[in-house]
Amino acid sequence: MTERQLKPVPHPRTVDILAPDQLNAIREGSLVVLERTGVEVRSEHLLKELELGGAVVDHDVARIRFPRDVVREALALVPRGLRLASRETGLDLELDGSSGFLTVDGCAAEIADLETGERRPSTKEDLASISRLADAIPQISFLWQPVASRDVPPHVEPLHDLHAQLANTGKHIQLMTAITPEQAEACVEIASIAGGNELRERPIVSAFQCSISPLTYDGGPLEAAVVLAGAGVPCGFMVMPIACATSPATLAGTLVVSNAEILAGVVALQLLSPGAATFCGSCATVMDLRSGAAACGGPEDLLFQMASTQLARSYGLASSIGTFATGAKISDWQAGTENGLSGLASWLAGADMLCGAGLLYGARVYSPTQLLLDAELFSAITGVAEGFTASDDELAVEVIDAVGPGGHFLAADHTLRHMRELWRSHYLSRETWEAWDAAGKPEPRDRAREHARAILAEHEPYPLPDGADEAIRRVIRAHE
Amino acid sequence: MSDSRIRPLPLVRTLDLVPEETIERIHEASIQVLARTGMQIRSETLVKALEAEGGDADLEALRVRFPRDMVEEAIERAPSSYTMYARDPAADVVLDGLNCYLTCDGCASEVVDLRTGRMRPSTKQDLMDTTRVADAIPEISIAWQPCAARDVPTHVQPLHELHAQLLSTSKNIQQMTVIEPHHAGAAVEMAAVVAGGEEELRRRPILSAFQCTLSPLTLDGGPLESAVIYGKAGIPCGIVVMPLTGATAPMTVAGTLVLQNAELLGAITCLEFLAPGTPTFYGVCTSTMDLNSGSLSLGWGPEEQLFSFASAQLARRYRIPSQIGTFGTGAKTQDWQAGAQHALSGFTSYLAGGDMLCASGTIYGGRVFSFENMLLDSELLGIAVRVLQGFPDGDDELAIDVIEEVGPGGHFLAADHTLRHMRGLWQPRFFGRDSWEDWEAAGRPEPKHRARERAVKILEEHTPTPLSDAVEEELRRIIDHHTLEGAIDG
Repeated sequence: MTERQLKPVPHPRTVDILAPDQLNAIREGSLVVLERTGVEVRSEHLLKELELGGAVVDHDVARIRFPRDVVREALALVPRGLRLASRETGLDLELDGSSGFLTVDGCAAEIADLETGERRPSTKEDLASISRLADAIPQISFLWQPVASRDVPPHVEPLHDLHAQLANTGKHIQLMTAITPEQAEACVEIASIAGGNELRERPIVSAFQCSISPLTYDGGPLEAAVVLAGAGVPCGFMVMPIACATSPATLAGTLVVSNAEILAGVVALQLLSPGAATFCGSCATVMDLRSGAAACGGPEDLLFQMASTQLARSYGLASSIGTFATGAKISDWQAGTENGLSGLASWLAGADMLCGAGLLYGARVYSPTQLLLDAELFSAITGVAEGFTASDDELAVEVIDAVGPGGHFLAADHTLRHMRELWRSHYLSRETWEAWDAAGKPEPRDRAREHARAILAEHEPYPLPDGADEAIRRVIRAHE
Repeated sequence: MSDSRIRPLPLVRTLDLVPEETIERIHEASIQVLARTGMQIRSETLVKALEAEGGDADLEALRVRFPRDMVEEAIERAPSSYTMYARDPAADVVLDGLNCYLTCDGCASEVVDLRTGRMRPSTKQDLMDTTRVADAIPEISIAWQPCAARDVPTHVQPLHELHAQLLSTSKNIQQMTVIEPHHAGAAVEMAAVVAGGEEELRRRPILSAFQCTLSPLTLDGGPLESAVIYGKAGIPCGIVVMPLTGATAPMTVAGTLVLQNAELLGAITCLEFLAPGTPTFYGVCTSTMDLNSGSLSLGWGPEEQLFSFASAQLARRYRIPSQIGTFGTGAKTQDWQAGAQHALSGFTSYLAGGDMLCASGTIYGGRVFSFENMLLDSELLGIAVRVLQGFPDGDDELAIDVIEEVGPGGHFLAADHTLRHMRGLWQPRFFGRDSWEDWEAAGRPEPKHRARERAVKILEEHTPTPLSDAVEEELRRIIDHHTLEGAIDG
């Protein structure tokens, strides 16, 4: 088998959506919030340690405030550039700003069943099969946990999640479900088994922890971050504010509070584990005023994507940006439009990690079909980003003269030499209207479903080392 | 609603994606093509006229080669900014590089019937209905002929099409179906009747037009003669090229751009020497070939966006307004494909900074018109406009005080700040944001169903600015006259 290659989207030029003074105002606003309002950290033991590191702690209300000098010094400790390693050779992610990498999205509680099309609670087997599907798709560079393993005991679910994924992909895995120090330790143990005890040199897993907007961190996630950092596993911080509900109604206000939350996580981690690799994550949206739920998919989301990317870049940190987040319930016009626009927005902004492919209904239902369609969209955006070259041969002046007015290029040598360079779609409809009518009006989602089935019937992921599967099972049993 | 007849797309963040040296290489190569290969102009009279203006003519082959100086002179003669006037002055649009305007699509031979949902040949009534919906949608600034009036005598079809549109919209009508000089003359006559005379039409041309080349490198006589008639009447007339990569253009993106640019510059040179100073535009509907069928690819992707970026940049280089092919889809309904292809092309053409985007409303590679699409496109572009406008300024926007007031673990639902600002959030018209349960109970509606309801409602409610009885009578007289004359000639 030839070595596989990832297909990230290049960033030939990026669009800064915030003007320089707007960027500074938001950065300054976050510093004021961290200094004046502060963050609630729900762990007495962490509060004490952070106090030693220079933070101002009010133990009565578990509130921690960060003076701006502490923030500045902590940010200076974060290593620049981030390499996320893969178990399979040749699939490392080099996050140096030159390209953006797509992940499978996570973590839904339900799956749109590939056979019936109906939604149902997800299982470990679903997680395994979606991971295997994602492993086969070149546009997917790394994997979140697409669905929850709801058929295993909750306290060891992250262990089962990691087991299912390691057995089904050779690509990098980013943990989002290990949110206690015990779970983090067990995941480090499992990853070490699969990765040959080289996590520090080659972190085949990374992770992120979430804040609770506004301005709150549970103790578990922060302690888990420290455990992961201690084992050399990069751990980022992700915010998921909903403007009007858990963050201000204004876009800039939501950025101020979410940026403050990200900085609080990053600074806390540096105080507790100096020099730990980390990154900034944002999946911000607004409230739908009619229902009170997360809107997922309007222009505000796209503005958050672009500004959050720009903010991370301004700190010299890698960004992980919520991108394909349609609110549609099936892969329809809305899903195509929302994800097309949001994919372009994250690309234009220059996001390092784009999360992610495959979710419907505002991240609540995972669809393997949508995974393939999002990958196709990403592939088209990549084609735009790659641009075109204009060598003398490509400028084609000679063949234009040879063909002349009124001729055609179908049989030209030049055409035959270059025809394979055109982008090719997998799922777009190209048949005639009559053929389409006769076939029962199939849509791209029907073709994608067929393709998903075909991949699952064939694709064999990169195997685990001998004995690793049993060793991982033993770790899980020990924690159960 | 007269205060928002037109909702332009402000050009606030134009992206020059293609490196400048690539644009220069394409320009130089196309100048070379025009000088060495030239174009075929299928009219002896016009070839002679162009020879008199400095073209290097081969009368036998009807081939004209254009020296570099002549092309550069033509580019100078073409105005860089002008107004697309409308019968309703509130719907005038100025092409000045500050805003981008969307046209409705044309000219489909079929329409998806709103009542039955089935595709069928289009009629003059369909043209009136689609135009009337376009008249009501503020995102549509300029009206192409959405579909062909296939139920009228073919020798006067373009006149019936103009008639149908004059009755159905007071926005600028961009004539695309007139390709014979006698039709162009009649169209000018009809437009003058509506405008209030030839001089008034010259002052405020409520009509614009374009003519197409035949790729590669060919111009029929009729279209060019029509363009000259328009130009002499003061009516802006653009040139639109529609090369197909691999079939009527080279297989490479760069080569297709060279060919397209050569055709556009060649045709603009013809126009600016035969009717100097005519407002024209750089119109591009370049596409790729489907390698399996050899016809227009319905599954296109990134190449079309690259054509958009490069074309808008080339037009800016020449300071000639551009019209960029946008919203092409091979989908046969408003499904994921239509959404994805339209999102990519709509956002990139807008980012590319085209002066006009063409066009909204067709599916199936431009062959079938669908009311639903036109409405859905307006929702899509509304999002793109909000995004590119970026963030508003102001201390209150930063919300630092309300963040302090709410504090960790609180919520913003009841904050004064939220109540003051929540109405500023974007509201969807066709996207579904209902719960899964409500969606199922409603029979799993998709955005296209809501768009269809909206189109039906517009047709029930919207009345375009009427023409006076005298004007209507005069228009009918002109059409009758040409109908009869054609019958006698025939």
